Amino acid sequence: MTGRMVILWRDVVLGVTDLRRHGGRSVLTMLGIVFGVASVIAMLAVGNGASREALRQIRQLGSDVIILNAVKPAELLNQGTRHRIMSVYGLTFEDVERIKATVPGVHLLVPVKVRREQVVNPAGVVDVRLVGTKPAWFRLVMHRLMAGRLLTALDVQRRQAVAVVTDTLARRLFPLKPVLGSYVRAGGSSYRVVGVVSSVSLSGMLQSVAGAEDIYVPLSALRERNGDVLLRYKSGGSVRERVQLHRVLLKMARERDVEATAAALRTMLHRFHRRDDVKVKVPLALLRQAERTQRRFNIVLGAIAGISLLVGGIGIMNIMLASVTERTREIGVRRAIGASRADIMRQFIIETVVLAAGGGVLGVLLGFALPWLITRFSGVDTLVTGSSVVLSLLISVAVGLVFGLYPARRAALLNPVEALRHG
Amino acid sequence: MTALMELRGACRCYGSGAARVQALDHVDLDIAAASSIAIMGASGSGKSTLLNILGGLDRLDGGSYRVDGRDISKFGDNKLSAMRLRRFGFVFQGFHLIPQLNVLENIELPLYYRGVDNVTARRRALRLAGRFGLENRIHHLPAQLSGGQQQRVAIARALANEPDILFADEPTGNLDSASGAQVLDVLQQLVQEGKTLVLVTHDEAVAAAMQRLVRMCDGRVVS
Ligand SMILES: Nc1ncnc2c1ncn2[C@@H]1O[C@H](COP(=O)(O)OP(=O)(O)OP(=O)(O)O)[C@@H](O)[C@H]1O
Ligand SMILES: [Mg+2]
Repeated sequence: MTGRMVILWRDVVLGVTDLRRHGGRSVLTMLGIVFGVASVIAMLAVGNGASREALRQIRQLGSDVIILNAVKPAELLNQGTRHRIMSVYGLTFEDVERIKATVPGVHLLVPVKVRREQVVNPAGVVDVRLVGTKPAWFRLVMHRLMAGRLLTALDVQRRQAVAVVTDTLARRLFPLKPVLGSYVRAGGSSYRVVGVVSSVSLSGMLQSVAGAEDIYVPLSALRERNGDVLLRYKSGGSVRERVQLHRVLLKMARERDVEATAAALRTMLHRFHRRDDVKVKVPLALLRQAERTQRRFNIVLGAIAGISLLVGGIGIMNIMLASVTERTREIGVRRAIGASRADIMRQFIIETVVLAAGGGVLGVLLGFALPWLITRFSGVDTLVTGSSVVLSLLISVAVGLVFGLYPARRAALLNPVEALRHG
Repeated sequence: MTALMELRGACRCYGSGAARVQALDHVDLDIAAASSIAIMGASGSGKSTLLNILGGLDRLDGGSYRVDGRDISKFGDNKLSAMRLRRFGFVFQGFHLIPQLNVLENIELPLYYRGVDNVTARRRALRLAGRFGLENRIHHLPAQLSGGQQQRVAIARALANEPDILFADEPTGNLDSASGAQVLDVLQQLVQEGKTLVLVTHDEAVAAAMQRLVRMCDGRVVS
């Protein structure tokens, strides 16, 4: 280290020493910055979190998609296992026909039936999801074909027991054997693996549309082999459910039809599903919703951040003015020794920046806690990114620079002789 | 031979109207290089004001002040600061050490403003501390030192950048006679080494140790 660098480093050390001397006072002064920085981080975290999920859905499915999900009605959920009653709910093939007949502008319609099963292989038990669907699935969900082929219309027509598995699952099911041509036994039937696709993970707000544990089979084949009834074992008994279709994915020909169509679908489905056992989800609308949430949080947190930083800045300026007054004689001594105005100015600016940046660091810590609390108590998804941490630290440094300027100038412009006579 | 410091018609006044005080009233003074000079006079006669002007801490309202033939009363603040940093050293009655810095750091301070790297600075500070018998106190804070020790630290600090002119405003004023004598001894040694010393004092004995004596009264040099 040479020259000016040395002075700079000394000033930082001196600044920190001086701040430590006034520990309590410094911390109190920093609070404004602490809250300001934490609010900035929280604000960005809410923004990042809210749009992350929706954006991911849209990236993988497209913004022109509507998802109909079967939802178990609340009264069935609470029924318990004692009654051994069959729970009947969800989408039906009739719904599909009705949509085909009456809803215009649908480019793709993909019915989906899901069964959670376990596959036993030499390595152990693997949890899988049998997804009975149509070839159009692969035109809607952005899989990459890694090996073999996809499901075809002929497979569906002939109810072929063939399967397309995700690459993740292929590795777990057949660690040693070649995948294509092997058989996977799930839900009491064996399916010949004809293709491997990259796994797509779509979950979160939309429930699990696609996952790494998926085995895609022709809907007709799955239905023929397992029917519509699912037996679920729970502690103390079992629940039987009859669900024809768990999900229907619709891809619209034009994106601008999405919201009107979704509204029409809601009305139509409500007429035939009085218990609201079908939910209509629109990723685009989710994004809009996320943006609205984000805006609301931005206004509140932005205001808090702005006010806190302003108050914090003024507080810091105040304490630095007090420090300049307290240390007037020291300033005079430094000037007598030969320090220039710039030297004095730099010393006090650095002290202010250290103080502000210290607050910034505490603010970052709080900034991690705040989004966590928001997620915990409001359910809003949050994500703290590295760039928001860097940004808020820069903001705190900037606050130090801006509000340190005036006290530092005051110090630098002191008359040396009068400063020496002081106190 | 022209003098090292040359004051001509120097005026400095404080306040205005009825409260106006002419602290320096047309002072002419020449000080030769490598000499020592004592300034005496009643309290309020303008000794400190004169010293501050000579040391480039304060500015004249009228007249001129030349150092090495250059009129430094026309200097801007930066050039004046650089002058103090390189050529002038100050010793004050109240020691004026920086309380949160230890002995070594206080001595190093002028070197940092000069841009000297910290290894060199540390080496020089250690040498100076040794020279003034402070080698066992280098990590002490000023508050942990006696007055005499503090003043020796102040002298060491004033010498850090090897200035050729020292200004001392009642350097022994706050010291008992023993440590005062010690400090005076140090200052006299420095004059022997070729430094110029301008010293303000109320103590006739201290003044007698200087090569030349100037008396002030009401802002004027009277002898
Ligand atoms: N900043 C100031 N504002 C107003 N008057 C001042 C100021 N500084 C000095 N004076 C006045 O100028 C005159 C000279 O003051 P100076 O400090 O030079 O005296 P001095 O000879 O050093 O006295 P002492 O022996 O008490 O230190 C005094 O009358 C003093 O009141
Ligand atoms: Mg005086």
